[in-house]
Amino acid sequence: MQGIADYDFVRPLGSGNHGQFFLAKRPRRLPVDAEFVAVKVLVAESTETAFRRATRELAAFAAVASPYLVSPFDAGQQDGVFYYSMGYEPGGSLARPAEPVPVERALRAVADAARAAGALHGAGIVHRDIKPGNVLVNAAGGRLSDLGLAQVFTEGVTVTGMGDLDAIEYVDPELLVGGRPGPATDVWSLGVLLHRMVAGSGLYGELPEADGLLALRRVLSTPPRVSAALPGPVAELVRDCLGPPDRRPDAATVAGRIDAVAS
Amino acid sequence: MTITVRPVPGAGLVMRSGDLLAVCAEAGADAVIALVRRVAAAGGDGADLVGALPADAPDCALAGPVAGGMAVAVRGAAVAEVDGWPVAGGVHGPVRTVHLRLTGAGTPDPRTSLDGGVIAGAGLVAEFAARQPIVRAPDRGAPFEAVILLPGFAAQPAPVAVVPEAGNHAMVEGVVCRNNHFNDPLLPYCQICGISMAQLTKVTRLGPRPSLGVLLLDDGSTLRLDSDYVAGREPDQHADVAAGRARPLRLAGPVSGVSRQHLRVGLVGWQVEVADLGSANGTHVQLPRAGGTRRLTPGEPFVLRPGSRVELGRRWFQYESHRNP
Repeated sequence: MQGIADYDFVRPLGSGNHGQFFLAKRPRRLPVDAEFVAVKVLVAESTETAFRRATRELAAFAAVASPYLVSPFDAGQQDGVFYYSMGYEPGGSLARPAEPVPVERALRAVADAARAAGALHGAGIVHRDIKPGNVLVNAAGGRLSDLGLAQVFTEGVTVTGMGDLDAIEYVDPELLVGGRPGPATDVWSLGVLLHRMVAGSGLYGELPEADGLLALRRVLSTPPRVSAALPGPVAELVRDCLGPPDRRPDAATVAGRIDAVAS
Repeated sequence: MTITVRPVPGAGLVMRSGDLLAVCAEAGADAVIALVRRVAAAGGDGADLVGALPADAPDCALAGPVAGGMAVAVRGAAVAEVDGWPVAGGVHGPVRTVHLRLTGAGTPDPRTSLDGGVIAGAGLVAEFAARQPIVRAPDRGAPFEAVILLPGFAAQPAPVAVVPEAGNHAMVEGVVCRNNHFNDPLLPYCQICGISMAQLTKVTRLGPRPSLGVLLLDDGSTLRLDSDYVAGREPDQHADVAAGRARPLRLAGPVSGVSRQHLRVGLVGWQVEVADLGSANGTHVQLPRAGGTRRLTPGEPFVLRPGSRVELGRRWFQYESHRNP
């Protein structure tokens, strides 16, 4: 794929949950100070209704002023294909970092992602897709990217297929049996993310790769287990994030408690 | 695409040419082998292979990838399974394993692999590497529209950013467990916390119906069952979708065999029902642990049990719920 709309692609950057990322030259009409931008092209066919809803949700996301969010610059469609562009972070994500990320840096990145989630929640937005692939790492810490837009293209969807099936590990099981996303379900995902980064393992053991049905069954049938390898305060924070929805800490509190552990 | 193919011992012939796979009985094998070679030499895919197989071919099973799925054909006593499910035709969506076998096939030796050619054997197991999502390249000559989202450029969105979705929030009779979760009165255990409800005096009360679980689609996505759905290639055209009584569930794909409006998924009380909407190829339901599939009578609702698999042409979904046995 060479490009979309007035974006010329330089190279592919990898796949997200429901699309593919490309490095692109900034089109002249885009008023940002960068030579390159990242463009996400979605798998789902764009329809007029989906395009309007997606643009509205992305605009709401972009309006949240937080240095810890990767804000979308521009959204569009060409020939039934939907895309949006955002800032390019060369450091990669916690799932595929450009260079190995030591635990202290990963903690800073997760804390920043929690701050970003807090800012979104304050604006009435639920991220829905917090996982290592959506936390980008940089020298200062990290930034949360890529609002989950799946529900815009398929109403009622809780987990999208195709690609990173590991996403299911980060989803509050309540959503997998039909619950509705909210700030508390994002906090659950932050807890699993923290666990994965510090313990190096998930809450359900290793999930079967590339088999949605088996992975879903495993998550639904296995009670999450917090690793004994986690330091006490981290284990306690993870457990709080996985607690009853109304008793979970809010995202800003999660950030503060990670800061306290990391310092 | 990366494939690992392991032959299965037994009487017959196993063949692989690139991504094209075949097993066939000794009788009439020459014609099948020649067919695979011919399609492979012409650069054909699974659809070309399957399309060229005569209806009266001897016992054999053929498979090959196509854009967005796997083409499969079986003749006589041969069997084909995709991801553990017996299939008679192609399937849409990502495929992990394909198992082709003749009667009397053994089990594959994990140390073996077949990179190409024809060998003796009664079957094969092919494993496909995890597939990446495929985005369609747009026609770059086509006009495009773009909206700049940077603050100060975009029209500022309304303060409420979370868009409410269509839903079917009927009231149902239920019981609450000791932790105050609302449940189907017929369940022995709470479907949220798993606590036994056997000791409770079952006084039902009316409450908003919680989600009844999820539909798991062949491509791995899951859909919340808190609304009716209309499934098909163009579900938006259905009156219930237009009126907001049901959500559209778009099932597209090349040669999917899915009708424009194929199936309606309805929530009735605590049950999930499906009804075929007079589709061209029909709808088949496989109940958990029950052998064989049954074809739905168009227009007649059929109650799904958790674990039931519903096949629409070459696409399928499964009903999953806490109420799984």
